[in-house]
Amino acid sequence: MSVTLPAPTEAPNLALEGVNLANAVFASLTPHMVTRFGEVAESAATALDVLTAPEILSLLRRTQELAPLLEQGLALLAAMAGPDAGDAARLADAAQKASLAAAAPGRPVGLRELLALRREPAVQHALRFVVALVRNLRAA
Amino acid sequence: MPRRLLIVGSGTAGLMVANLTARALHAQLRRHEVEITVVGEREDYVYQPGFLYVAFDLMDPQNLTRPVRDLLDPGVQFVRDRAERVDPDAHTVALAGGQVLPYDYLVLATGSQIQPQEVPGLAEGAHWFYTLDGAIRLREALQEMQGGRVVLAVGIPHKCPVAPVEFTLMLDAWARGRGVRERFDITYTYPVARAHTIPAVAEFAEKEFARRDIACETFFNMEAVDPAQRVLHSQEGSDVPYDLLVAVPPHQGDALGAASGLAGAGNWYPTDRQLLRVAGHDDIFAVGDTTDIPVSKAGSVAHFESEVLADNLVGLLADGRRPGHAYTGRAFCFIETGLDEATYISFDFLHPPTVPTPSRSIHLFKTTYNQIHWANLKAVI
Amino acid sequence: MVTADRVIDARGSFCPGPLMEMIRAIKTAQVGEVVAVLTSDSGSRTDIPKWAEKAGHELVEVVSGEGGDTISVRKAK
Repeated sequence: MSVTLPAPTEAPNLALEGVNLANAVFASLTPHMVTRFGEVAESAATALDVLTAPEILSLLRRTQELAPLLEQGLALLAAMAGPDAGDAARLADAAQKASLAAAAPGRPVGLRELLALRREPAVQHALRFVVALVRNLRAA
Repeated sequence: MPRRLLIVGSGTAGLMVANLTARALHAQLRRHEVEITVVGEREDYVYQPGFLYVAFDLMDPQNLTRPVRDLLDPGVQFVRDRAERVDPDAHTVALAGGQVLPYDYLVLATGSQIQPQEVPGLAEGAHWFYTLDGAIRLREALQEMQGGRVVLAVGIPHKCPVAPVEFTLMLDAWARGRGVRERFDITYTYPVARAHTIPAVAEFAEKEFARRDIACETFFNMEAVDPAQRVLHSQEGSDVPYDLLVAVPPHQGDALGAASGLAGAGNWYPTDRQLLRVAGHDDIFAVGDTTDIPVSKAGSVAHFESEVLADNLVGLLADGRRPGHAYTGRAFCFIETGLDEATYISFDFLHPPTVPTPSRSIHLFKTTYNQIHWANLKAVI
Repeated sequence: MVTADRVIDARGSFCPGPLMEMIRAIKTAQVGEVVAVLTSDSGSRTDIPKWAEKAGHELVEVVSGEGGDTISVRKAK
């Protein structure tokens, strides 16, 4: 007895296989699935329309400059958090304290640099990107 | 006073009906004009078509299970409990935990369960892939087996009508793949005078069995199993020795049907095949395995039925519209014919099935569908 | 035409099919009860009587009608 399946009685036919697969797909579709595909396609097209608006694409390109600044900001936060830098919760806590301290007089060292980041063009572009996205989404 | 839809059963049909209806009635749910509740016995949903693959170690049991709450629309209430009795006059369902839930519309989606005790000796002597535990046990038995006589036997009625053929052909391919096919003797038995109740499937199976050296004994109805002697006896007087007996036990509907006086023989609800109403009740529906409609007990049937029922429930709940969507008997079943090839059957009340040539593409489609199913359950696709 | 104790409309049923519906119904019937299956499948005219004979039950009658046949079997054991 062969360890492989015995030779099939018909020669393989790719065209027939393609047709059978297509028929199988159509046979398996329920009416709601067909409707849903249409709805999902419409949502996807709308989302794509929003995300690819020229304004947004341009801002998206500019926010690429944001990456090194983001890294810088995180490093500053880590320094302020000290030994607890590995703990995400404490890092978030440190960030919150930093924003509160920003309003108080006698700001701690390092905070000045962090706040300066806010005025960086790339950060400003990122914030404008978010605003434009929200505006476009509302219109969609 | 919100209109209340109560669904008993958190399997395929229960979840689909709940989610399809909830999706269409989001606004009404938010405004508390409609309430949808699902009562289910288990916290988890299990993808039953996966059991066959577990037996051959092709799917991991943990990938077959997801919490029901993760699969239900957030607008649907889930009550984890067992329904004990329906009171059609009071329009309530009593739960094991003591709660009594009222309904305006009730959907019974309690599925079907194996009843191995119907065949003496079956529980002790046989393996099956119709429960997760059973599939794991069978997987272990197959892994340990060096060779011997494997016999497949089928009880009536049962869910997943093509599974006996699938298991047999997969077993053959599995043994060949391991290089040990010649050490196995495979015998397929079936209750009627051909290899399958569907003539086209019977014709296909008989050809395949002949080609692959698989013995086929028809008109074989399990009577009893002798676990000590390892012999399976048929009602027709045939005695088949086995080293591994893989059985599809007979099934029954949930005891809720009998307890409520709503179900007939076998605990199947007498159900209108088009509108899915339980006979004699305008406000009680049944869907999936639990009906007595002469269709396959299969996930695809539950799916096609659920869409029809949900469409009708949406009309009823939204503005009292009389149900006008009819189930047409549609079913779609993949048939694995090895470990990497498959075919399928597609039919309804008017069109009989035919069996296309098996191919790898259709097997890959089935593999994909194992995942699409989750989206179907959630009514996302 | 005999009055059946149970009537199953299996017209349009390709799976499990009229014969399986008959087997299922006879299984849960009382001895002596008559089960009638409505079928639109011409194969049932040979399938069901052949099964009844082999399984030891009594074929009561086969009535042909517009939508199909009504085949009645009495559970004998």
